[in-house]
Amino acid sequence: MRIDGKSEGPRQSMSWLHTWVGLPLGWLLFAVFLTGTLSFFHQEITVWMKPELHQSLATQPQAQQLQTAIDALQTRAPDATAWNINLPSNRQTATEISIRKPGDDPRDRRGGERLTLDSATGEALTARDTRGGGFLYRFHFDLYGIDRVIARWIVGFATLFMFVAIISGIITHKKIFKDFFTFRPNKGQRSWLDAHNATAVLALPFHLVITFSGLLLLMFMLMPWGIDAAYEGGRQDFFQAMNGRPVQQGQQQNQQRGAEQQREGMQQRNREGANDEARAANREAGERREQQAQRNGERQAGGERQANNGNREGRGGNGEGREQQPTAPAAPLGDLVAMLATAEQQWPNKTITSISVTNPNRENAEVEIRAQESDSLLSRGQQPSMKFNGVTGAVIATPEAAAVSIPSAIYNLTTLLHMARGADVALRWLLFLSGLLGTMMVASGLILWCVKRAPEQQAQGYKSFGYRLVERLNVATIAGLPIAIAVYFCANRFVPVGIPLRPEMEIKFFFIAWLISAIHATVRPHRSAWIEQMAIGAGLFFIVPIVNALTGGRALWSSIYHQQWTVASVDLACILMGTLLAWSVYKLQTKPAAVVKARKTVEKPVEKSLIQAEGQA
Amino acid sequence: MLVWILWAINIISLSCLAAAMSKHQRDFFGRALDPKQNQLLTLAGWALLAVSLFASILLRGPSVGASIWVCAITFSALVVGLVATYLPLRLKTVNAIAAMLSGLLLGGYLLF
Repeated sequence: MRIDGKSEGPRQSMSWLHTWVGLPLGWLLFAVFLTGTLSFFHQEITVWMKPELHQSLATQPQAQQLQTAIDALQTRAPDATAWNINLPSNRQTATEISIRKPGDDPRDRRGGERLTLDSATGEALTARDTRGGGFLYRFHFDLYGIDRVIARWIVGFATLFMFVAIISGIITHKKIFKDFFTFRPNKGQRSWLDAHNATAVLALPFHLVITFSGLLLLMFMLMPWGIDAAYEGGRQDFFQAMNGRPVQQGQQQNQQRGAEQQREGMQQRNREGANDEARAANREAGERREQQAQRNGERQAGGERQANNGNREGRGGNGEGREQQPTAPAAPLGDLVAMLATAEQQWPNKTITSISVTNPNRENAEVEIRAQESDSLLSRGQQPSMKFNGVTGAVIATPEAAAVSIPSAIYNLTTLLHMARGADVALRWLLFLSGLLGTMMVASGLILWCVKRAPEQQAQGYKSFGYRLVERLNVATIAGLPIAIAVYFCANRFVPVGIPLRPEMEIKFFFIAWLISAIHATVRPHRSAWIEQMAIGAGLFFIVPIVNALTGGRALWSSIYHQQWTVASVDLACILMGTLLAWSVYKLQTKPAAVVKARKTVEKPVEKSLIQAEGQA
Repeated sequence: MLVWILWAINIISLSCLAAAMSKHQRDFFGRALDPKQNQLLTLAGWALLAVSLFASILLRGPSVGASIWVCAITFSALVVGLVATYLPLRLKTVNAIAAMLSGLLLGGYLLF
């Protein structure tokens, strides 16, 4: 079924669908793919963008780092209700601690005072104010500067288009198995098609999982009706049921209201920053929502407030003693280092990163130690954990995780992979590299659109508006976005520390660079635009590690010497990126543009670069 | 480490599968192989893929093991594709290196 009424077979019709579904949102998808790929390392990027933290070296054994952290906590907040310690790992250089004081809401996971310590000396480090990798991570699904809900709808549509493009692409591909290992270089359109196919087919499982889970992560927003119809209290009841907690009739009224507040709550939660994007169906989600609803409630006026307190009491009876407990008598804190040793013995191949102590220095103290890598991706929160009595150090048995239903398991597996949560370093790198293949797939698809239509345009004697638009958008996106990212990294070091709205200033540089790239792509001849922007991008990425060394960050040789891979890997990735861009400049320059043979009298001057894209092959 | 082993071993398995395809045989060997050889290569390729998947699942559990395996063979396939394109005559050399690498890594993995 085509608009122009021509008849065609299923493969051709799919090809048509593939082309026209892929193109309109292709540039957005490229941006989503690239920023998403970088987001596998958003934590590392954030550390890189806080050079003040590079001084912290994790050369000491973990036991000593833990002791340093405990000493700092004992002097700072011996009377806290909870401590949380995140030890340095391959994802962070310094020790992060958070302290919850008696007045704080004990269920607020992000609450409390947060501090970053030098892991060796225990000295508090103050880092510059920056959004760091969080900006790229957020941009990946929230875009920037527009309403979050609208942004997610846009990204959701793009994801759906991507899914359609992948499936129609598979059907269109004539020889998916026969051409599995085939790449024919230096053959113009053929090579671009091969490159598009190879990047798509080789990482096909990744593309399918990442796109499908992208839709799943947004499904509560895109398709809320099923849940709303089946559960009286809406999403909140659904999550409660998912968590295996019965929904009580008496609460219905309150929850109805809670559901109303939920949208607002969700937005607020989003404002709270990085990590909690897709915890929608997280094990804690139900709890979180409750907190949010309550916190919102607490901000409301008197009468409402009372009702809300009633609400909380109702919940308290329902929950497992989640009410704030009265302070227990003082008791010396047990030996955390010994507990750490027990956990280490239990998990010889895992990185232990998180140690949390509830009610430190009290009789009812409890210690929970968690490893970074999950044993299973079929359910949430599967990072192995051990609980200890905080005074005696005795291990507290934890209940076995409840069985997961198949739909939940699918949701969990795909979305956890999407977010690389609980993934070890190797899997994280594999996902990152697969993401790069995906980014190249989108880019080659966009370029292929132009390459395929070049002869047509040539015959016609001039480039039509649509064709020129696609060409320019291609340059502005495929070359422009990497430039903007490199500029963002540099701006991180050159925007003065301490000025108001500093993070926003860095982001401004990102968008200004991108805008300049778009303008440049419009005014310069197509081929020159590619070469110049690729060259600038390459130069910028090569400069980033140098800028890092000169502006207070740990230089690459030093970070490699001290095995500070968190910092070194960002520098190395920048060099890799610079090399890739420099290589494409070299390819573009050494392969001269095909000379256009005009079939008829040329009315408008034809740029020699019409088939420039072939030069990249 | 497991990822590197999976990557190296499956360069071999996917090379076998590629070598069993008639369209690559001229590039690799300068001649077409007889059906018996094709069958043998196909069988060896699939067997090695299956064994490595099974081992990965055994070591790391079904979800993590299979995820790592799928991601790792993507890059084994990339290597085989690049060899088929740019170094078709060196297929055996590349495979010898891959075999050595996987042997060394596997030895290291089993010992430590």
